[in-house]
Amino acid sequence: MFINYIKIAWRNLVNNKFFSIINITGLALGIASVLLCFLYIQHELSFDEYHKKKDRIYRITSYGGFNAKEWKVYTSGNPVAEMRNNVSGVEDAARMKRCGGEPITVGDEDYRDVEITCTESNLFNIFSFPLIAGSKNGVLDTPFAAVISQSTADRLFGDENPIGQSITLNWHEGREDFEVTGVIKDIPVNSHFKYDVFLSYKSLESTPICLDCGNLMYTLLDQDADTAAIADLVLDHIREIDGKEYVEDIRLQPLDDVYFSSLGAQRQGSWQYVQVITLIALVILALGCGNYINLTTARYSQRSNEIGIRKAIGADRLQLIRQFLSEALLVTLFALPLALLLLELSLPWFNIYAKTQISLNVVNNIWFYVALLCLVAITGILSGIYPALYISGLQSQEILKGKRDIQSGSGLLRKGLVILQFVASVVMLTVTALILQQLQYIQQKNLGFDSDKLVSIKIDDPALIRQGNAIKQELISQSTIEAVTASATPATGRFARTRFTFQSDSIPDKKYTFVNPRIDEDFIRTMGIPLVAGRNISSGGATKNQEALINETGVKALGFHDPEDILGRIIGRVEVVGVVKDFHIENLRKEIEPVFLRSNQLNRAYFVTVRLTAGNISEGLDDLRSVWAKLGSSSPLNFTFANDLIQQQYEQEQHTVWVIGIFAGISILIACMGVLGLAAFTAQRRTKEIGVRKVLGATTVNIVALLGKYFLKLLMLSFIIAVPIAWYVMGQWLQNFSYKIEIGPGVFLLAGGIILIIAISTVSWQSIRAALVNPVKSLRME
Amino acid sequence: MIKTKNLKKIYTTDEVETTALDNVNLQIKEGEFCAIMGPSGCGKSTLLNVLGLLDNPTEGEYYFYEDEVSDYSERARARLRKGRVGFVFQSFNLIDELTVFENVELPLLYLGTSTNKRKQKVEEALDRMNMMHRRNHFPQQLSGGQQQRVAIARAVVADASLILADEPTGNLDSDHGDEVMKLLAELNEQGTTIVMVTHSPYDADYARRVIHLFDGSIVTEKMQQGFHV
Ligand SMILES: Nc1ncnc2c1ncn2[C@@H]1O[C@H](COP(=O)(O)OP(=O)(O)O)[C@@H](O)[C@H]1O
Ligand SMILES: [Mg+2]
Repeated sequence: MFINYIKIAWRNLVNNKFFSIINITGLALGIASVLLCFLYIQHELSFDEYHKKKDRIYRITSYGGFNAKEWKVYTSGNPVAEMRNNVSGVEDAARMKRCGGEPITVGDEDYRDVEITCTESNLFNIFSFPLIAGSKNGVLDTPFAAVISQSTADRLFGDENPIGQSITLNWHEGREDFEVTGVIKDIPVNSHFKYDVFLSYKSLESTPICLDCGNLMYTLLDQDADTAAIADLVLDHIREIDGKEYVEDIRLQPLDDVYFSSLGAQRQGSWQYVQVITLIALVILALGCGNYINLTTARYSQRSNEIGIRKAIGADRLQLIRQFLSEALLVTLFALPLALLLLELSLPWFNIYAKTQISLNVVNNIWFYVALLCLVAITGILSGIYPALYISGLQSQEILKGKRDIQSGSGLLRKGLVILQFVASVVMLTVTALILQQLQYIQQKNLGFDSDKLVSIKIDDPALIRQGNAIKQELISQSTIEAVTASATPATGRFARTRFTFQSDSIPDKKYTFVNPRIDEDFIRTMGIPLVAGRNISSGGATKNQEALINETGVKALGFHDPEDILGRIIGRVEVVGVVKDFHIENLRKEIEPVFLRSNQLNRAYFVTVRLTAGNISEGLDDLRSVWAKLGSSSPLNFTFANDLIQQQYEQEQHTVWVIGIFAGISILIACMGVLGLAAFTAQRRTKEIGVRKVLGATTVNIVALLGKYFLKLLMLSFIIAVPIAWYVMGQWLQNFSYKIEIGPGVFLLAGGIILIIAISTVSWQSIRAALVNPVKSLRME
Repeated sequence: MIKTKNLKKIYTTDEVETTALDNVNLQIKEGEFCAIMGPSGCGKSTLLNVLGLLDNPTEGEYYFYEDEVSDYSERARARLRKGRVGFVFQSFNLIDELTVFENVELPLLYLGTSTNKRKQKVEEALDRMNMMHRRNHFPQQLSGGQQQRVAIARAVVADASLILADEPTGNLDSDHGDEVMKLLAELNEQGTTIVMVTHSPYDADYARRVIHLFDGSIVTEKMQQGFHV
């Protein structure tokens, strides 16, 4: 019997190639989307899962701060020794601290793009980063030792044995040599941190750097350790030993939570993103199944004879259901290879735009195949069950009586499915358009300073860092350079995240927190930030008396209305000499904060920002390069345009818009195929009617309008449903931004218009074909 | 009114050539009632389609009133046909989704007749066919004979001067068939030219003139005294 089903199903597939292609492609797109989503989620969930002791590993987080209290991952590194020795339940602990800098020099070669950190040997006990060279015990126990990853070893030393080799890198205020004592396997991509070089923590002891500040801490606990109790002990220790009152709470964050934690890590996942992609994938699968259901129920009317005869011969309902389900499964099976092909082709592309590193390695995993089979089964059943139940439930005399009944019965469902497809298409298209609109708004928004032709140079050479004035003089003497400013922090982007907190003179209890960049006297001129009151800070660099500029928001925060009133006041031992207009230091997600621009007493030029003269950018860059050569910098010119820095802050949004945009395209494609199939089917079913109408004098336009009207009505209805959905979704998304677009009717009309044009051309294509057939032929088909 | 000269129609499908009409010479005058008879597949419907301007002949000349239309485009033929030629089919070919009234109204809609005029003409036509009481029914709710009467109403509603009927009684029992034939005869009385294909000698007796087709050619033609009139 089953062979018989398959035979009939196969012949149906072959005899209706047009519908079969639509069905198979739609299902393949759906399956591919779900598989992609499946791989994506699996990738996201696999983060940090490979550590053998993962269930016992915790990251220490602390709560506190002066004004804005918040949870942080950086905390005092002080408690590690105490934890290792005196706290029961703790098996090990390790701290990690940012240190060192590019470039790494080996022999005469400089190497960049390496991530460097300082840590302790204990880290390799906690995490599973297998050492493949070097002694397991205490690889990082001596000062100026380095453990490097395998690929870094290959890069730096080629075929030579890396152990015992020396690497040179930026260290504190100079350069320092480190000896390679170990090589570890590369840290897998699915890790919340990515480092290539680990330097020994002990190396930091000979520097004046604050060891207890800004440590990342990880700990390995015993199986049944009481995390709350341990956290309390750590908190007590920090408060007692360090006397750091501002740490108010400590928590141990399980490794499982780290990747998706909003507190941050080098690689950070987003649940929201996972959810959105899952939802979209499921919708696309539903659209594919919808096509199948639509076209299949529509086509059953043509098979009513076969069904009627089967029933008359004695097929019971279950047998018919089985037949139609096997047909659906067969079609799904045909869709599978196509889906896998689509997956393989789209994956590299998805990785780029979704910023993931998913691989198809899973094909070696038996579970992948199990999942695949389940997916095929679910898709097949989802697609097949309704048509099967519906058609098998009809009485045979009903079936033989006429085709009309069958169509009107499933008409509602068919309409619903078409509406679902249109709604999904309109929503995704609108969302894409609105994200693009917001991104464009951000680009065009006046940031309060002139970001054009502004170039930010990061200075890597420790010798140059101390020669800020010399660099500035060299640069300003070039005719292509209009202004230069040197600062300790980059002038734009993640500018000056440090906060400056001080007490109010008048209200002793009140504390204020300001963003606190260190600038020089050329800062506001170079950046193009207007002065509102007072004067610029005076030149002279390391003067005893520091001076500061404050922004308008800062004036208000301190309770003044008139900027003039604040001039001359001493805040935190610094005199406020001027007030500048508000400008966007960070990005438009955030409101403008109070800013305290303080003169750079340290006089270190970690960053130099240059405004090129209008017109000749390439000449300007050439001049920058020649100045760099003249200055004899040990590292090459490392510059970025301010506009690019600003753009980088919206990378996540740019990835999102790509992913959603492409999914929108896929769903429009599926919807169109569905509409195409239905239009073709409708035209086919109404062949006779079209013939009669033509005999009676209908023109081609009359016929196209007749067939288009049905879809037009559905499209209108879909549009009405889609608008509030898209509006709500975008409203939510835009809440991420303090400065945002108004959602106007334009985008909806645009999206609706695009879908309308696509749908109508699809329908017209089929309708015109039908309308051009000679009525003599259609009427002869009786 | 219409005249054909050496009319030939060849269908080519999948490399098989069928000569459906072969050298048909025929003249039909205004007001005639002409029956075409012949075995199945001899080309009757093909002839009717060409006469009704639904299809072009492969060769030969066809004069519709004054125009030689044998190589007219589909568009030109459609324009010529509108309002002048009415069709009646064996299987009625009513549109299931439309009511009796709406079915009859269709030709007028495509002619662009005004709403009031349409209503008046449709009611007139339905009245003539004795179908006014069924105006709001759907075709499926009617008997075959009633459906054919609606189809005839539709054929005459735009005041067609030529009615082409392809086996109009083929799907009807003899009582209903007779009723339909009487209506056609009545229309002919009032001046409408009728060309009708039929298998039934009894029905053919309504016509003044009977043409016998065989393998695409006219074999006999005879004038007769109508028995039933
Ligand atoms: N559209 C067509 N394509 C191919 N052959 C056709 C077509 N229409 C009619 N024929 C062939 O032409 C011949 C005459 O057909 P038709 O005029 O329908 O005969 P009748 O109406 O007398 O039964 C038949 O052999 C038929 O198969
Ligand atoms: Mg025929």
